[in-house]
Amino acid sequence: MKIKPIGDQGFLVEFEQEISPVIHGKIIYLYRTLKASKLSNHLELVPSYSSLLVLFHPLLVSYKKLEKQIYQSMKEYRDEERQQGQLFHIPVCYEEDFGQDMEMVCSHTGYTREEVIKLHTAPQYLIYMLGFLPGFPYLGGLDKILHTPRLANPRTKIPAGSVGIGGAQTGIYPIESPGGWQLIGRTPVKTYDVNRKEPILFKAGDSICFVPITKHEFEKLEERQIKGENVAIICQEEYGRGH
Amino acid sequence: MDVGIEIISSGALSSIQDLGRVGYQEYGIAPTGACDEVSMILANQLVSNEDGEAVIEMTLYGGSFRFLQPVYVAITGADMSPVRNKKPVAMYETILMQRDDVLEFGFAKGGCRTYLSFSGGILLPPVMGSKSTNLSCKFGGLCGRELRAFDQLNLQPLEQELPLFQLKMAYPNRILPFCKFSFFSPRSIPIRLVLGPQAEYFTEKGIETLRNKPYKISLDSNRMACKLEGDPVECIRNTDILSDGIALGSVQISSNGLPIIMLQDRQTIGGYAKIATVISVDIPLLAQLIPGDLVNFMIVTRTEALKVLKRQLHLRRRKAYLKKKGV
Repeated sequence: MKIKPIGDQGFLVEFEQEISPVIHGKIIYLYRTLKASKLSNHLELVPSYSSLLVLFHPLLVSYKKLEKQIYQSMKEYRDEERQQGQLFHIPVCYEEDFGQDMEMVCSHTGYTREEVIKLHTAPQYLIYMLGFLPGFPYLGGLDKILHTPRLANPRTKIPAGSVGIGGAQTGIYPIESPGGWQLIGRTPVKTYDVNRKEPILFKAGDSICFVPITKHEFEKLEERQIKGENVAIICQEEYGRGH
Repeated sequence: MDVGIEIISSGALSSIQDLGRVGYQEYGIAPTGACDEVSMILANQLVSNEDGEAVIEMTLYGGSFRFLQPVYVAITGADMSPVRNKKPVAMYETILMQRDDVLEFGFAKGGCRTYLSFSGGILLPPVMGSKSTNLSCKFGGLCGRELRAFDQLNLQPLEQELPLFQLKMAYPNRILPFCKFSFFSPRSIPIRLVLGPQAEYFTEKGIETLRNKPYKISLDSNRMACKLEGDPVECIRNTDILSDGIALGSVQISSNGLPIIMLQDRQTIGGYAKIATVISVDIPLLAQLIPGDLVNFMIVTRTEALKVLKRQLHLRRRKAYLKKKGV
């Protein structure tokens, strides 16, 4: 572990430079320890694949003291203590209307639609970090079979909730945006809602599993969302059972 | 009865900004907020507001505003030759605007961004704890977008029985770093950096280039980043890293070797090595540079950066630069 200064605004706590749940476990441990500390109101924390960015006002927080505190907490850390975050069950409709590029993924991988859905819904994906768009999760754990190159011509508009594959990654578009990922489905769950008390559903260190639903179920959930129900919580309860 | 102000024209880019959104970078949401925080705070102090009240930030070319109520205002930052009802008005002091007054701004001189504050602030609901406009995610400020003609902003009604202390800034150029430099572009401005967090990706020669060669502010610059043109900075292998968090003032070196300095509307994570970070005190200065201006980087230590910051905050806390108007 290395602590590197970021100007006079804080530091970057850097771990081994690779994408692995074991290394990420240390980052999340440190992130949660600092969130629970007395200083947390003065800290801006940005966890990523292999580091934690810690920003603070240098006259309100002592660099030296915080540095010492971090070395101390990491000394106490054991890999076995790796804490699981929340597991989110995200319903996805993989039917044609939403998965425009499903055929592309099938022909690239040589697997059928059913097999692709099975492979995509099998793992628990770890959220390494959020960024690029508000609440966009960088997920680890996509089956190698499903790795599919991005579109040669990116789309200018991808609807919110779209689930796609881009190279070795899979993810959910939180808002309508341009993008080049292969779209395989869509979720009615709003992973980002500016009007919600907690606008972003996920935190780094949480996990996601995708649950296949029919178009009829998708539409029903969307209707409930329009009525003002919190579909994220409903799905947690309904699709969490049996997992 | 109509209250507030009406936007007659918005200028090049005018948006509502405060000190920005705290605690959401981990979710991929930029802090946003005023680019030149020092000018923005001074504008608020001149109308006896809290430092962090929302103001209008105008860029390069200002707008014009019709007042639908009396209110105290102050103008700081770049000089956009403000006129009230076609007559010039002073910057850096409290001004009482009357109903039906029209305040107009022109092209910026000597800087890039101008701030307009209102006594009592702008009445808008904060989103995630801030009134700052997040232009790329389209929330905050007024409907999450830049101001447009025919928009109306609600202001605090003026309490006539409590006349405000009318203030004036004694020595704006002592407080505001950008005022120390020539008004005429292209200027050559020193910007201080602390090396890191990924300086080890670069050769000694690369770091020397950054330190010794001037860089020109590119036309491509905006609230997200200040892009620079000049000699490429030599790296050892490449500048690709595993994406990590980006701070205000991070100096990224992209694959073409040119520096990009990340500002308030930046993306929160990125995959280019960051050779250095601009010191906090020089961020407002950087925010006032215009395309064509030249930057000379100076490398300082973190301890030196802290010393300068302490000195500046001490000066600002004393508010000794604020004098009663007419005294």
